Amino acid sequence: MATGTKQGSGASSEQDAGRAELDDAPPFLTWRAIYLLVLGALAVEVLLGAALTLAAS
Amino acid sequence: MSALDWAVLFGTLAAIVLYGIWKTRGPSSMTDYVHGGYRDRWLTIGLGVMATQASAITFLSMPGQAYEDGMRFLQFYFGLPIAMVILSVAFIPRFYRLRVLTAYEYLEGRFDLKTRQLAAFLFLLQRGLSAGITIYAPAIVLSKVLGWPLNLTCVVIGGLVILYTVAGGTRAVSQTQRHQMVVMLGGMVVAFVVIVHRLPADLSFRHAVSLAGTLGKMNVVDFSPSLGNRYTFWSGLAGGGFLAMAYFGTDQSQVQRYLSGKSVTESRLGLLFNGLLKVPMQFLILFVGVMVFVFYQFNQPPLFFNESELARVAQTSRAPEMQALEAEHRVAFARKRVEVMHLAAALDAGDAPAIVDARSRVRAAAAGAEAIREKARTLIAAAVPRPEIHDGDYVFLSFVMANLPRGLIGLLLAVILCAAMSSTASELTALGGCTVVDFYRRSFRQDATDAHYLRVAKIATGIWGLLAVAFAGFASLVDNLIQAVNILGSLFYGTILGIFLAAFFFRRLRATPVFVAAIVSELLVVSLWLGTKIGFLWFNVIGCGAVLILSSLLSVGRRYSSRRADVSKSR
Repeated sequence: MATGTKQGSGASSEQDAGRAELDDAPPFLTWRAIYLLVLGALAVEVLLGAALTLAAS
Repeated sequence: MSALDWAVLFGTLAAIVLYGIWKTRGPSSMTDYVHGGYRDRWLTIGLGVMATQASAITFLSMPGQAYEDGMRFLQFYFGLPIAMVILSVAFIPRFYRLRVLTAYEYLEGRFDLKTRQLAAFLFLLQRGLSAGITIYAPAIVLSKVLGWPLNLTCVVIGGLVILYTVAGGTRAVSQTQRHQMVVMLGGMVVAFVVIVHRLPADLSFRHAVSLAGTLGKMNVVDFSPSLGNRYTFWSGLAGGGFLAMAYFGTDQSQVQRYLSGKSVTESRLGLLFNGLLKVPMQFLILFVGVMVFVFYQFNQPPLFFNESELARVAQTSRAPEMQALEAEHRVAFARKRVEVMHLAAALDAGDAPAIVDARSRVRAAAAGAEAIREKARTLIAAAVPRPEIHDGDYVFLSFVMANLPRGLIGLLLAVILCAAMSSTASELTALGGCTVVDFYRRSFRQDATDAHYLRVAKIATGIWGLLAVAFAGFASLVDNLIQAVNILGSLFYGTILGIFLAAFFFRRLRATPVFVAAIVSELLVVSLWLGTKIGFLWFNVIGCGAVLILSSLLSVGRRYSSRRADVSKSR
């Protein structure tokens, strides 16, 4: 590990482009579908919470 | 506690710790210590991120919060899934591209050293104080179980966590956290099932929820736009979202968790897993508290859940007054129980007018019982020195110790201690790592070996641990632990997030305007906290907005004055 550099190991963006860990492909679905799944689950939880509040009050 | 409980408690903890030590044996490096060697998969990251956030306070304080205040605290987490998506899109790729060891390293490349170290300093200040509270919470548990003085228990717990953390660093934390998380979630599910099972046989689950709603505990979502109301849908979405974005995006204890991933994909999936499971998990924990509340509508609760305070009053001349209040409380409970049974019967019969009538009677009886509890608090405050008059953090523990079967008490205590170990270990490694990477290595000694930095990081972790134990001594002064941690975070996170958003999305902003704006914004937030009654979640929005607006104005001002200087020179 480099020391005294301003930024971590100081890797350049050209080197980064070939790095395996930057490979950004989800193993299932697309990223957009995964994001929609997370946000859709939140919307359902809020609606269920609102329904529970109304029903139990 | 029975021998079985002790066996379950120590068996669970020892198995997890020994597994962590076995998995992380062999030589270590600074990268291993801070990021665990970049080898984690998404499930380990997701569970680790959740375990880091879920401290012992979560399991001690949140059921008590629901017992007193209902489900509305859940709204605090509504912004979190949105924040996870934003972090996955905008933050993670940037951190990966530069392979930073701490989030603050990124700021030096974008701005300058002073801005990096300001953000790191705010993190150290906030997280160092919070670590004290996260050590204090499990100390409450053990001091109750073992009968030790609270301060001594803080020292013992803090010492054990320091040893465990200094020895293993992030690698050990990663390896143990997913098992700790499984124990935590499993333990709460079992507790929930047992509590529901212990409700009266003729009370259906639906009527138990309706009873909780009658007494104002099923307030899950509140769309009212009041700024003074701490927990609403809006404050949760905006303030909670900013807080989550700041906490997960800029707090090194979390950044080091997901940057330990093998790739951007693993880190993103880990964070999104957290975004998907967080709200249901918090719902479960709060709902356990509501079910404990329903349980105590049919079973006599203590007048005051922190029994050690009652014991202190019993040794003073005011003891007879407390005994009188206890007798009064028993009578009020019996009266309330009759009304609750009437309501349960009306709900069972589906008799609408009787339900309305019974509800108002239950509410009146509950108000009477609460008034006696208030008198007890006043008496405790008057009778003993340094009184602890808020007992919300003791509700769940008191319930567990008095009502759960043998074996399960040990499991629930293991849940609380697992939570304490996982969050404190993450905090201490982050504090130690940040101290070395952002200050020692950057400003004091730039040419030492990796082994030297690893040694200094371990020493720094130990020192932060000792400071956290010292801060824990002051934690008893706060009303509610989980609220105190979140208020503390909200005072600093807005400013830190503002600096990062300026770095990521405002390309024209330069270092000095952002640095000055961050200091002014921090002072503004602290002044607002001291001088107004604005709900604390809004401080995240205010701090972040103030940094962005002020730095933009300062930049415009600087450009304008330099242009005027150029014009006057050319003349």
